[in-house]
Amino acid sequence: MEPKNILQKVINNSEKIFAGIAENYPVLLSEFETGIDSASRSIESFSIVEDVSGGGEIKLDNFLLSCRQESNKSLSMLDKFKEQNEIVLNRLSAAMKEYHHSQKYIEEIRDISESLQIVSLNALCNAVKAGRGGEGFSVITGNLKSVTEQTIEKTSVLENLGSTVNNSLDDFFVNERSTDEKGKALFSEFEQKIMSGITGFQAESETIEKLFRELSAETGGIRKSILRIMEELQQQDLIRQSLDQVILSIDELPDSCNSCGEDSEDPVIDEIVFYKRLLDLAVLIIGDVEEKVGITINVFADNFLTARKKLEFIEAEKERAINSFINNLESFSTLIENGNNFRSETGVLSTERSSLIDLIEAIIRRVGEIVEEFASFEKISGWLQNVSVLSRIELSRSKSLSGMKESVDDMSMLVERIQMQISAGEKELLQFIGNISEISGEYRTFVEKELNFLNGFTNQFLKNITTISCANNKISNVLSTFVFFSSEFRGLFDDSEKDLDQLKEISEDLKRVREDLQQKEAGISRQLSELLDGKPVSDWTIADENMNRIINKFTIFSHKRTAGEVTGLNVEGAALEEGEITLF
Amino acid sequence: MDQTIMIVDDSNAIRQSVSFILKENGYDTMEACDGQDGLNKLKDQKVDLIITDVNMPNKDGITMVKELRATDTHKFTPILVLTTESQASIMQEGKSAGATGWIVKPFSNDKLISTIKKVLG
Repeated sequence: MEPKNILQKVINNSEKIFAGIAENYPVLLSEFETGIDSASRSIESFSIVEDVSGGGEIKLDNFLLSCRQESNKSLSMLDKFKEQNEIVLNRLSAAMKEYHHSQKYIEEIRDISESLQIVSLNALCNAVKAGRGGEGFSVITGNLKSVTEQTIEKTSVLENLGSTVNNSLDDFFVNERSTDEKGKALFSEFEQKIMSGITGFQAESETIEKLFRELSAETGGIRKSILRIMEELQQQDLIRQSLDQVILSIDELPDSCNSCGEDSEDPVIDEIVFYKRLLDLAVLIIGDVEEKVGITINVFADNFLTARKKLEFIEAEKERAINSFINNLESFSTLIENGNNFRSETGVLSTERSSLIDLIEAIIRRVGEIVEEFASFEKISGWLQNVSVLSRIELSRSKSLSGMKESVDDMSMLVERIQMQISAGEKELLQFIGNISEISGEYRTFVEKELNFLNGFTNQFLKNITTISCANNKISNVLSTFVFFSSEFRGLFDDSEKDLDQLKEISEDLKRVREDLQQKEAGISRQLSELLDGKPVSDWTIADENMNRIINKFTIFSHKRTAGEVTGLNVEGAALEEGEITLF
Repeated sequence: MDQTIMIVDDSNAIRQSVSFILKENGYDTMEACDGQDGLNKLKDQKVDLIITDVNMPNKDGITMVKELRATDTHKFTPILVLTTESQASIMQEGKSAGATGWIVKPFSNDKLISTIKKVLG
């Protein structure tokens, strides 16, 4: 193909390439921005969750923060409950001491009754020895023996009842402590597993959101590269005009030969020198265009490479973040599982607390029975009083019983003591039953409050867990469809890379033409060397008219100057720099 | 309302690329493929700024500037010449014709936009 035709093909191709870029890149950029917008919306949606408690859409970080605040508040509330429980238990413990003290009265009553039995046996022996005079006394001491036997029997009954109450109280304390320990363990587990789960979820969701925002910001680099390539489109004007000038020069060659000056000493040499200078000029201009195309190729290649590297980096980072988040999904399902376990465990705790209330009420009933039994001592106390009075009457009536005065005094003293013990014991038991009833009431109120709180807390907590689960699912769904770059963008981006190959073809064509013209110029130079017999061509002067006509058609001033240097013609005037801006 | 800028250039690629940059920066654009086409489209059309090339078929940019300055509509419309012409004497021709400024290609997008902002005040 003729150089002129190749150059025309280069002009046409470069126009086609640059026009294609001018048309496609805005679409490419628009696709790019659509993708980034959509990605930004997806990222925004990470942070919004639907509150299943009916709070509507809320920001995830605010929600998780309020979850943690709620949980912290609840945990401190539970601590307060523990303190209240401790107070109630301390009171109960103090009441138990009172109860144990009241047990001593029973022991005392039994001991005194046993002493009375001995005293009554002695008295009976003395009464028998006194004969008829002691008959009445024998009856009285016989009765005393029978009453004391009943008293001893009753104290056994009371001791049995007492030990049942003791056992029940011990059970209560043991069960209460065990329930308390269970509660403590449960809430400690709650803090460790669930709260750390929530914190972990928050950290993960924040990390992925932050990373995606950073990646989104990174896409700015791709946009910058695309805009830089578009800036390079201006080269097309320079390439076209430069090559037009080369074609103009080549076109002029045959016609110019005939118009060489008539005054020339050698028209043939003039014509050949003219050829040579035009070829020199064409080679220099093509070289300049080659350089410009080379710069454009570099700009394309650098920016494409930058954009592609960034694109691949963003995609790889995105994949890595998604995989990391998906791997953590397992720990979030454990969080939900733990949440459900927590609900059933708090249920067990509630049942245990309720059965403790039943136990304490059973204790109160049992103590009531003790008090009733104790009340029957009053009757015995009355009989003993009677026996004591009758003994003294008998003693005063029969002189034969005068030796028994000491025994009767002992009997009276023991009766008085037993009466005191009965009275004091009853008083303490009544005091105890009053106290324990009050404590039981407080315990019941406390347990009811605690159970209500636990129910409310558990329900709210489960709702929060459900919201977190929904947020988790939502983020997973968003991530599974998340793209920074649409397939349209990728397609256009890949296609655009073909422009680079076409520019390289243009560069090759220009090189071919330049080499062809250089070859021709070398041939002419050899011919001239023979014709000029060794004289330098630069010394040869030819008519300016034709060269001037050609150069004046040049539209790029730097080429005009090059032409002036090649031909020795005077090209005057100042030149502006590329990119220079002058405002008038 | 966005400002409107007319781009006159025989290169489709240049027109589209300049138009894109201007739109990116919030301007509306119109396009003409040479001086004559520019004159026809600007006959009764007011615009805020005209950007023109110099070397174009049918009618060159400097002649178009001269003719536009003769019209009432474009007597004072700012006109920036965006050209490969770097010869100071040609720039003087543009100035005499009534151009507001002269920018030698290739230029950077940022510089073009800052010049336009300066010209449009």
